[in-house]
Amino acid sequence: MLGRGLKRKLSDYEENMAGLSSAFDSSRSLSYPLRRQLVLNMCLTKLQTYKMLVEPNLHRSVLIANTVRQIQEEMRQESNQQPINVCPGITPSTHSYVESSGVSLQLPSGISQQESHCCDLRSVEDPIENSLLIVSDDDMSSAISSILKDLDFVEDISPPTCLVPTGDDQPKFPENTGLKLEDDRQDLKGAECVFGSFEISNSTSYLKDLAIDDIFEDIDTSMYDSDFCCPPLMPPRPPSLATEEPLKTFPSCNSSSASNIQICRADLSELDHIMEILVGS
Amino acid sequence: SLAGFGNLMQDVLWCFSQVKGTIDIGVTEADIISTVEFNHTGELLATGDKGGRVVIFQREQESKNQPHRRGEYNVYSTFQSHEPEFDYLKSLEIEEKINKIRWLPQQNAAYFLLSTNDKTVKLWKVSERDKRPEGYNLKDEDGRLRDPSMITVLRVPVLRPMDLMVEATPRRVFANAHTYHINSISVNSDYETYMSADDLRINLWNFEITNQSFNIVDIKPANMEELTEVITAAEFHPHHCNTFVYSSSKGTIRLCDMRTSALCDRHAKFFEEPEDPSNRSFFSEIISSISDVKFSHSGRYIMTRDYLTVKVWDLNMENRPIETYQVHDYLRSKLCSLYENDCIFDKFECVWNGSDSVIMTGSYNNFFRMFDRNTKRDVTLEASRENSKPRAILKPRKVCVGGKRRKDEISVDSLDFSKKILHTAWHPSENIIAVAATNNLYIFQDKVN
Repeated sequence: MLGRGLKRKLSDYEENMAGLSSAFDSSRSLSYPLRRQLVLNMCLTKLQTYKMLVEPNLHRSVLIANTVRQIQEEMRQESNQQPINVCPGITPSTHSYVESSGVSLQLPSGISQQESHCCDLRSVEDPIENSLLIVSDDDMSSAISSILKDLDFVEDISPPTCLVPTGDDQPKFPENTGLKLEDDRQDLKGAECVFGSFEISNSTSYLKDLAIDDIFEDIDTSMYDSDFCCPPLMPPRPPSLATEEPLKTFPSCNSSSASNIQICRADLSELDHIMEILVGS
Repeated sequence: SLAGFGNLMQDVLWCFSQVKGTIDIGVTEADIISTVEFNHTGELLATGDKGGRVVIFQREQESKNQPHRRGEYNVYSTFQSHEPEFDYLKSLEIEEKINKIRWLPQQNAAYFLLSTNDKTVKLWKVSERDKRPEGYNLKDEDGRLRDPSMITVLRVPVLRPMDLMVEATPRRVFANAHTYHINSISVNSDYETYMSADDLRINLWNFEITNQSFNIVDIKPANMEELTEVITAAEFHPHHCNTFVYSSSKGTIRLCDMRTSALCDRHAKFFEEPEDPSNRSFFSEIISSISDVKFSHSGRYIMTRDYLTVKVWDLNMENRPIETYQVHDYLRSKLCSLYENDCIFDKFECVWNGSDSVIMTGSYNNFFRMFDRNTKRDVTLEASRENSKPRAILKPRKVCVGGKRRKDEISVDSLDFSKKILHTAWHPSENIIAVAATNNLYIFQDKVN
């Protein structure tokens, strides 16, 4: 199917994660910093996976981003409260850590006053810890903002300002037939972000591919078809067109399907209804 | 008699009535039921599935000859409501899955319902035809047009009986108003308007007008990076057409009054329970996200479902719910695993019975739970083919949380998390419930004595 997200294969990493999450649930001996690290890694992995989808789930992304924010805030508070400490035994297993003047490592796995505490736990937690990614504060922030930016879809509806109809004004039409970029700066920014993640190499190529009819399919003519206020008699028409021409009443917007049997049925049943009135059931 | 002895809910014994759907081992994804809804009289029961189809069941008239078959539900109409679509502009596929069905109250011989997928709401008319006019002047019996110059005699068409035909026709298509995914629709008590809610916005529609809608709630921030909360469900008050509620991913409910302003960004009431510090975990916010909100029939209460509990709120008390029911608290110690396999994001619905005295919601392993608000008793039942003998009484189930497992109990680790009951419905006035278990629809009734 087009546009679908990638199908994940169960990798070693994920099998490891499943084992780790069971360890999280069942084991009480996992230290709090390690549990937090585990959750953080899971969150970032999920966000990373969502970013690869064409349309990430907004609800889940927000919940996961909030969890990352919560952990991030906690870590920030900890690093503000305590001096930076070195835990020599812990070996980071991957890329993102900050090294300043040689000694300090930014240890997201919790900064403990007691080195011995770290080293004692080493024997239990090393295999677990070695499989976790070490993540910086910047990594967390950028993971959150990049997934949320991806969810800022360019809107094809008008900005929803107050829609109280006055005597003269028409209420805003929520639909249009083309892409409408907002004037607002933030929406432009959103537009750029969205287009940044899509591969539209030639902006006119897909217009050429569309049949002309498809472009006009989403014009809604249903206001011309009225269910409850139709006159009892049909307006005069040439007999050859009398009952056979279905009104194009309900075009499916964005639909690639040209035929719509239900449209014809709607029209015929309407005529049957009129016949019944005339005949007097 | 001892019929009720030992059962948790002694007033009602639930029996199997019917099951719809195939028993195939491999489930076609399109057949997975995604919504279930009785109409206002309970005469009709509608289901929507992932394949975009709607199936309507009708309750048969009760027969004096077979009093124990208290009105079975049989297929009345089946139609394709939504088709998969492709949004060329955003390069996205739009799923045909039916997210919600809501019935309109019946005003004439035809039935009307709203069905929605992620983007488009449709109004469907379901009507019967058992007569057909014959003897047209301008066309012959096959429908072919007659040459008007050959017509010399005029006749009046007459209605002749025909086999009953049930037709579903789309009457309105309400499209292009939602950028994000629609999660709820709700018919207003004025029967002239309804609302549709997506992750960030709620729109108000008039049934007659499809090319415009009023936006009444918008929580999209100017900068999406500041987004921390989404709308998860919304519903109109059953009697007050100006009042509605919507729930959020942060576990809060807002009640809005449309009379105060056109854009209801400022709530009239804000319902939130303070967090219990002893239950705090990394997953606290995720499990607090409300997956469903329902007004009671009386309009005095709202019920919310989050991952582990069902809560009943009094509209007059905003600072905490008046009742909290544990659906499956034994999962609290499994949250990391449930997060890892995404089950923690499952959206369970909840329903009231007709008298608002009992509430029901689903769980895993095809279990569903009922809570009697008066007696404070609860029961766990299972929707399974094994318990599907006609009029067999459902046996209460129990999950063993530790220690010695009794013979009929099931341990937490043995639960099947792929068998989830997300959608249930309760007949508006009788003890008849419909439970959707993946691709099967179970109908249970209370025991007839």
